[in-house]
Amino acid sequence: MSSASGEPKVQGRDIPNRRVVLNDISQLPSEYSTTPGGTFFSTTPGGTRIVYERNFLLQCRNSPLAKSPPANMLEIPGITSPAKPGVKENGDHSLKSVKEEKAKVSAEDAQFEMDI
Amino acid sequence: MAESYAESEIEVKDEESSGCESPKLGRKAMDEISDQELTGVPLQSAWTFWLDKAVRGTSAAEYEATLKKIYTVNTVQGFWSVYNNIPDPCLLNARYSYHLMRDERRPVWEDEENSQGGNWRLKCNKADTSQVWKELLLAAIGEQLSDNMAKGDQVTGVSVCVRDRDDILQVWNDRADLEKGSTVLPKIQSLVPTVKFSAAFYKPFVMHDAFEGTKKKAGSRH
Repeated sequence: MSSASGEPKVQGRDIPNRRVVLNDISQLPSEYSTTPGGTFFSTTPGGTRIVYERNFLLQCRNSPLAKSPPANMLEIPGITSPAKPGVKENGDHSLKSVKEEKAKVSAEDAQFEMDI
Repeated sequence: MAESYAESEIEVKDEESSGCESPKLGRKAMDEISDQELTGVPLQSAWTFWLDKAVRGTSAAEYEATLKKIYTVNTVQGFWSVYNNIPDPCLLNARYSYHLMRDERRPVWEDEENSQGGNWRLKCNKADTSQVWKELLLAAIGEQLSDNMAKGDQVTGVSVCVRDRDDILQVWNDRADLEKGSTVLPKIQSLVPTVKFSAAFYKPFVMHDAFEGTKKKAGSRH
Protein backbone atom coordinates (compact mmCIF):
# COMPACT_ATOMS: atom_id res chain seq x y z
CA MET A 1 0.00 0.00 0.00
CA SER A 2 1.26 3.45 -0.77
CA SER A 3 1.25 6.07 1.90
CA ALA A 4 -1.72 8.38 1.96
CA SER A 5 0.43 11.49 2.37
CA GLY A 6 -2.46 13.37 3.89
CA GLU A 7 -4.53 13.58 0.71
CA PRO A 8 -8.12 14.33 1.64
CA LYS A 9 -9.26 12.05 -1.18
CA VAL A 10 -8.28 8.99 0.79
CA GLN A 11 -11.37 7.80 2.52
CA GLY A 12 -11.40 5.56 5.51
CA ARG A 13 -14.01 2.93 5.97
CA ASP A 14 -15.46 1.29 8.99
CA ILE A 15 -14.09 -2.00 10.11
CA PRO A 16 -16.93 -4.32 9.16
CA ASN A 17 -18.52 -6.13 12.02
CA ARG A 18 -19.82 -9.60 11.72
CA ARG A 19 -21.67 -11.06 14.64
CA VAL A 20 -21.39 -14.75 15.27
CA VAL A 21 -23.50 -15.98 18.12
CA LEU A 22 -22.24 -19.05 19.91
CA ASN A 23 -24.37 -21.07 22.24
CA ASP A 24 -21.75 -23.41 23.49
CA ILE A 25 -17.98 -23.45 23.75
CA SER A 26 -17.93 -26.62 21.66
CA GLN A 27 -18.95 -24.54 18.65
CA LEU A 28 -15.57 -22.91 18.61
CA PRO A 29 -13.16 -23.90 15.90
CA SER A 30 -10.30 -26.00 17.13
CA GLU A 31 -7.56 -23.99 15.48
CA TYR A 32 -6.13 -20.99 17.23
CA SER A 33 -5.84 -19.08 13.99
CA THR A 34 -9.54 -19.31 13.30
CA THR A 35 -12.28 -17.39 15.05
CA PRO A 36 -15.91 -18.44 15.27
CA GLY A 37 -17.52 -18.18 11.89
CA GLY A 38 -14.23 -18.77 10.14
CA THR A 39 -12.77 -15.29 10.22
CA PHE A 40 -9.06 -14.78 10.67
CA PHE A 41 -7.48 -13.68 13.88
CA SER A 42 -6.15 -10.38 12.70
CA THR A 43 -7.42 -7.01 11.71
CA THR A 44 -6.21 -5.87 8.36
CA PRO A 45 -7.54 -2.98 6.33
CA GLY A 46 -10.97 -4.20 5.35
CA GLY A 47 -10.65 -7.03 7.85
CA THR A 48 -13.10 -8.05 10.51
CA ARG A 49 -13.53 -7.02 14.10
CA ILE A 50 -14.07 -9.84 16.54
CA VAL A 51 -17.21 -9.25 18.57
CA TYR A 52 -18.19 -11.63 21.35
CA GLU A 53 -21.56 -11.72 23.02
CA ARG A 54 -21.70 -11.42 26.79
CA ASN A 55 -23.18 -14.88 27.31
CA PHE A 56 -20.44 -16.52 25.34
CA LEU A 57 -17.76 -14.73 27.36
CA LEU A 58 -19.45 -15.81 30.58
CA GLN A 59 -19.48 -19.43 29.45
CA CYS A 60 -15.71 -19.34 29.15
CA ARG A 61 -15.37 -18.22 32.74
CA ASN A 62 -15.49 -21.69 34.19
CA SER A 63 -13.26 -23.46 31.72
CA PRO A 64 -10.30 -25.18 33.38
CA LEU A 65 -7.92 -22.76 31.72
CA ALA A 66 -9.74 -19.79 33.17
CA LYS A 67 -9.67 -20.96 36.75
CA SER A 68 -6.02 -20.90 37.61
CA PRO A 69 -4.00 -17.70 37.35
CA PRO A 70 -1.42 -17.25 34.61
CA ALA A 71 1.81 -18.88 35.73
CA ASN A 72 3.90 -15.79 35.22
CA MET A 73 1.51 -13.14 36.56
CA LEU A 74 3.19 -10.32 38.46
CA GLU A 75 3.25 -10.98 42.16
CA ILE A 76 1.44 -8.24 44.04
CA PRO A 77 0.82 -9.12 47.68
CA GLY A 78 -2.86 -8.82 48.47
CA ILE A 79 -3.79 -8.79 44.77
CA THR A 80 -2.20 -11.63 42.85
CA SER A 81 -0.57 -13.38 45.77
CA PRO A 82 -1.66 -13.88 49.35
CA ALA A 83 -1.07 -10.98 51.67
CA LYS A 84 -0.28 -13.72 54.12
CA PRO A 85 -1.00 -17.45 53.89
CA GLY A 86 -4.68 -18.16 53.73
CA VAL A 87 -6.08 -14.68 53.15
CA LYS A 88 -5.70 -14.45 49.41
CA GLU A 89 -8.99 -12.70 48.75
CA ASN A 90 -8.34 -9.96 51.20
CA GLY A 91 -6.27 -6.98 50.21
CA ASP A 92 -6.40 -5.50 53.67
CA HIS A 93 -2.95 -6.52 54.78
CA SER A 94 -0.75 -4.99 52.17
CA LEU A 95 -3.15 -2.19 51.46
CA LYS A 96 -3.64 -1.20 55.04
CA SER A 97 -1.72 2.02 54.73
CA VAL A 98 -4.47 3.35 52.50
CA LYS A 99 -6.77 3.76 55.43
CA GLU A 100 -4.48 6.39 56.82
CA GLU A 101 -5.09 8.52 53.79
CA LYS A 102 -8.79 8.70 54.25
CA ALA A 103 -8.56 12.14 55.77
CA LYS A 104 -7.27 13.58 52.52
CA VAL A 105 -9.93 11.98 50.39
CA SER A 106 -12.87 14.24 50.95
CA ALA A 107 -11.03 17.00 49.14
CA GLU A 108 -10.98 15.07 45.89
CA ASP A 109 -14.55 13.92 46.21
CA ALA A 110 -15.43 17.57 46.37
CA GLN A 111 -13.49 18.11 43.18
CA PHE A 112 -15.45 15.38 41.46
CA GLU A 113 -18.61 17.24 42.28
CA MET A 114 -17.15 20.36 40.77
CA ASP A 115 -16.22 18.46 37.63
CA ILE A 116 -19.87 18.00 36.93
CA MET B 1 -3.94 -34.27 -1.00
CA ALA B 2 -4.13 -32.47 2.28
CA GLU B 3 -1.23 -34.39 3.71
CA SER B 4 1.11 -33.77 0.86
CA TYR B 5 0.24 -30.09 0.98
CA ALA B 6 1.10 -30.03 4.64
CA GLU B 7 4.41 -31.70 3.94
CA SER B 8 5.43 -29.22 1.36
CA GLU B 9 4.55 -26.43 3.71
CA ILE B 10 6.89 -27.81 6.30
CA GLU B 11 9.68 -27.92 3.76
CA VAL B 12 9.20 -24.29 2.96
CA LYS B 13 9.26 -23.43 6.61
CA ASP B 14 12.61 -25.12 7.08
CA GLU B 15 14.21 -22.84 4.55
CA GLU B 16 15.40 -19.73 6.25
CA SER B 17 12.92 -16.84 6.36
CA SER B 18 10.19 -17.46 3.86
CA GLY B 19 8.93 -13.98 4.64
CA CYS B 20 5.24 -14.64 5.06
CA GLU B 21 5.46 -16.90 8.07
CA SER B 22 4.67 -15.77 11.58
CA PRO B 23 7.60 -14.22 13.35
CA LYS B 24 9.74 -16.85 14.98
CA LEU B 25 9.82 -16.72 18.74
CA GLY B 26 12.77 -17.88 20.75
CA ARG B 27 12.39 -20.91 22.94
CA LYS B 28 12.36 -18.75 26.01
CA ALA B 29 9.54 -16.60 24.68
CA MET B 30 7.59 -19.67 23.70
CA ASP B 31 8.01 -21.12 27.15
CA GLU B 32 6.67 -17.95 28.65
CA ILE B 33 3.44 -18.13 26.73
CA SER B 34 1.10 -19.88 29.07
CA ASP B 35 -1.22 -22.65 28.01
CA GLN B 36 -4.33 -20.55 27.90
CA GLU B 37 -2.69 -18.16 25.48
CA LEU B 38 -2.08 -21.02 23.07
CA THR B 39 -5.44 -22.67 23.22
CA GLY B 40 -7.89 -19.97 24.20
CA VAL B 41 -10.39 -17.93 22.21
CA PRO B 42 -8.56 -14.95 20.69
CA LEU B 43 -9.57 -11.39 21.51
CA GLN B 44 -9.71 -8.56 18.99
CA SER B 45 -6.69 -7.04 20.66
CA ALA B 46 -4.59 -7.74 23.70
CA TRP B 47 -5.74 -6.10 26.95
CA THR B 48 -3.62 -5.32 30.00
CA PHE B 49 -4.76 -5.31 33.61
CA TRP B 50 -3.18 -2.54 35.71
CA LEU B 51 -3.43 -1.63 39.37
CA ASP B 52 -2.70 1.78 40.79
CA LYS B 53 -3.14 3.85 43.86
CA ALA B 54 -4.11 7.49 43.52
CA VAL B 55 -2.96 9.85 46.20
CA ARG B 56 -3.43 13.55 45.89
CA GLY B 57 -0.38 15.70 46.04
CA THR B 58 2.14 13.07 45.07
CA SER B 59 4.65 13.66 42.34
CA ALA B 60 4.36 11.99 38.96
CA ALA B 61 7.22 9.69 39.83
CA GLU B 62 5.51 8.66 43.03
CA TYR B 63 2.33 7.91 41.15
CA GLU B 64 4.14 5.77 38.62
CA ALA B 65 5.73 3.82 41.42
CA THR B 66 2.25 2.71 42.45
CA LEU B 67 1.29 1.68 38.90
CA LYS B 68 1.63 -2.06 38.45
CA LYS B 69 1.08 -4.09 35.33
CA ILE B 70 -0.79 -7.16 36.49
CA TYR B 71 -0.93 -9.10 33.23
CA THR B 72 -1.56 -8.81 29.49
CA VAL B 73 -4.18 -11.17 28.10
CA ASN B 74 -4.82 -12.19 24.51
CA THR B 75 -7.66 -14.66 24.90
CA VAL B 76 -11.03 -14.91 26.62
CA GLN B 77 -9.71 -17.63 28.91
CA GLY B 78 -6.63 -15.57 29.67
CA PHE B 79 -8.88 -12.69 30.63
CA TRP B 80 -10.85 -14.86 33.05
CA SER B 81 -7.74 -16.46 34.49
CA VAL B 82 -6.70 -13.01 35.67
CA TYR B 83 -10.16 -11.77 36.63
CA ASN B 84 -10.92 -14.93 38.58
CA ASN B 85 -7.72 -14.64 40.55
CA ILE B 86 -7.58 -11.02 41.64
CA PRO B 87 -9.82 -9.54 44.34
CA ASP B 88 -13.14 -8.09 43.36
CA PRO B 89 -13.06 -4.27 43.43
CA CYS B 90 -15.34 -4.29 46.47
CA LEU B 91 -12.42 -5.87 48.38
CA LEU B 92 -9.97 -3.13 47.46
CA ASN B 93 -9.32 -0.29 49.82
CA ALA B 94 -10.14 3.27 48.85
CA ARG B 95 -7.82 5.02 46.37
CA TYR B 96 -6.97 1.83 44.50
CA SER B 97 -8.00 1.35 40.89
CA TYR B 98 -8.06 -1.45 38.38
CA HIS B 99 -7.66 -0.62 34.73
CA LEU B 100 -8.02 -2.83 31.69
CA MET B 101 -6.25 -1.06 28.86
CA ARG B 102 -6.18 -2.00 25.19
CA ASP B 103 -2.87 -3.53 24.15
CA GLU B 104 -0.23 -2.57 26.68
CA ARG B 105 -0.95 1.11 27.01
CA ARG B 106 -0.65 2.54 30.50
CA PRO B 107 -3.53 4.24 32.29
CA VAL B 108 -1.66 7.53 32.12
CA TRP B 109 -3.36 10.55 30.58
CA GLU B 110 -0.19 12.12 29.31
CA ASP B 111 1.17 9.11 27.45
CA GLU B 112 1.21 9.83 23.76
CA GLU B 113 -1.35 7.20 22.85
CA ASN B 114 -3.82 8.59 25.41
CA SER B 115 -3.29 12.33 25.49
CA GLN B 116 -5.71 13.15 22.66
CA GLY B 117 -8.45 11.21 24.39
CA GLY B 118 -10.47 11.42 27.53
CA ASN B 119 -12.86 9.33 29.52
CA TRP B 120 -16.47 8.96 30.47
CA ARG B 121 -16.82 8.93 34.24
CA LEU B 122 -19.73 7.32 35.99
CA LYS B 123 -20.22 7.64 39.68
CA CYS B 124 -21.95 4.66 41.17
CA ASN B 125 -23.04 3.28 44.49
CA LYS B 126 -20.61 0.79 46.01
CA ALA B 127 -23.31 -1.86 46.02
CA ASP B 128 -23.33 -1.74 42.21
CA THR B 129 -19.62 -1.38 41.53
CA SER B 130 -18.74 -5.05 41.04
CA GLN B 131 -21.59 -5.66 38.63
CA VAL B 132 -20.92 -2.55 36.55
CA TRP B 133 -17.19 -3.32 36.46
CA LYS B 134 -17.77 -6.84 35.18
CA GLU B 135 -20.20 -5.68 32.51
CA LEU B 136 -17.78 -2.98 31.38
CA LEU B 137 -14.96 -5.51 31.14
CA LEU B 138 -17.05 -7.90 29.08
CA ALA B 139 -18.30 -5.12 26.81
CA ALA B 140 -14.71 -3.99 26.28
CA ILE B 141 -13.08 -7.32 25.46
CA GLY B 142 -16.13 -8.45 23.47
CA GLU B 143 -15.93 -5.17 21.51
CA GLN B 144 -19.58 -4.56 22.34
CA LEU B 145 -18.99 -0.82 22.62
CA SER B 146 -17.43 -0.42 19.20
CA ASP B 147 -20.79 0.29 17.56
CA ASN B 148 -21.33 3.11 20.04
CA MET B 149 -18.15 4.97 19.22
CA ALA B 150 -17.84 7.64 16.56
CA LYS B 151 -16.13 6.57 13.36
CA GLY B 152 -12.38 6.73 13.91
CA ASP B 153 -12.65 6.45 17.66
CA GLN B 154 -12.29 3.41 19.89
CA VAL B 155 -12.50 2.34 23.50
CA THR B 156 -8.96 2.24 24.83
CA GLY B 157 -9.61 1.19 28.39
CA VAL B 158 -12.00 0.76 31.29
CA SER B 159 -11.29 1.53 34.93
CA VAL B 160 -12.81 1.13 38.35
CA CYS B 161 -11.63 3.59 40.97
CA VAL B 162 -12.51 2.71 44.54
CA ARG B 163 -13.30 5.76 46.63
CA ASP B 164 -14.56 6.43 50.11
CA ARG B 165 -18.15 7.03 49.19
CA ASP B 166 -19.30 6.33 45.65
CA ASP B 167 -16.90 4.56 43.31
CA ILE B 168 -16.00 5.81 39.84
CA LEU B 169 -16.19 3.75 36.67
CA GLN B 170 -14.40 5.03 33.60
CA VAL B 171 -14.35 4.29 29.89
CA TRP B 172 -11.34 5.69 28.03
CA ASN B 173 -11.36 6.69 24.39
CA ASP B 174 -8.83 7.70 21.76
CA ARG B 175 -10.23 10.96 20.51
CA ALA B 176 -11.77 13.60 22.73
CA ASP B 177 -12.84 15.51 19.61
CA LEU B 178 -15.06 12.59 18.58
CA GLU B 179 -16.79 12.20 21.94
CA LYS B 180 -19.93 13.95 20.70
CA GLY B 181 -20.53 11.20 18.16
CA SER B 182 -20.60 8.50 20.80
CA THR B 183 -23.56 6.77 22.37
CA VAL B 184 -21.49 4.96 24.94
CA LEU B 185 -23.32 6.30 28.02
CA PRO B 186 -26.79 5.04 26.98
CA LYS B 187 -25.12 1.78 25.98
CA ILE B 188 -23.59 1.37 29.44
CA GLN B 189 -26.93 2.13 31.03
CA SER B 190 -28.50 -0.57 28.86
CA LEU B 191 -25.92 -3.07 30.12
CA VAL B 192 -26.97 -2.41 33.72
CA PRO B 193 -30.58 -1.18 33.45
CA THR B 194 -31.29 -1.28 37.18
CA VAL B 195 -28.21 0.68 38.23
CA LYS B 196 -28.57 4.38 38.94
CA PHE B 197 -25.47 6.47 38.28
CA SER B 198 -25.38 9.57 40.41
CA ALA B 199 -23.25 11.33 37.82
CA ALA B 200 -22.05 10.58 34.30
CA PHE B 201 -20.01 12.87 32.09
CA TYR B 202 -17.10 13.01 29.69
CA LYS B 203 -13.87 14.88 30.25
CA PRO B 204 -10.91 15.22 27.89
CA PHE B 205 -7.61 14.54 29.64
CA VAL B 206 -6.17 17.90 28.59
CA MET B 207 -8.98 19.63 30.49
CA HIS B 208 -7.80 18.28 33.82
CA ASP B 209 -5.90 20.77 35.94
CA ALA B 210 -3.38 18.05 36.71
CA PHE B 211 -2.67 17.28 33.03
CA GLU B 212 1.05 17.66 32.58
CA GLY B 213 1.38 17.72 28.81
CA THR B 214 1.64 15.09 26.12
CA LYS B 215 4.41 12.55 26.03
CA LYS B 216 5.96 13.44 29.30
CA LYS B 217 5.80 10.10 31.03
CA ALA B 218 3.96 11.47 34.00
CA GLY B 219 1.28 10.09 36.20
CA SER B 220 -2.43 10.64 35.88
CA ARG B 221 -4.65 11.69 38.71
CA HIS B 222 -7.90 9.91 39.01
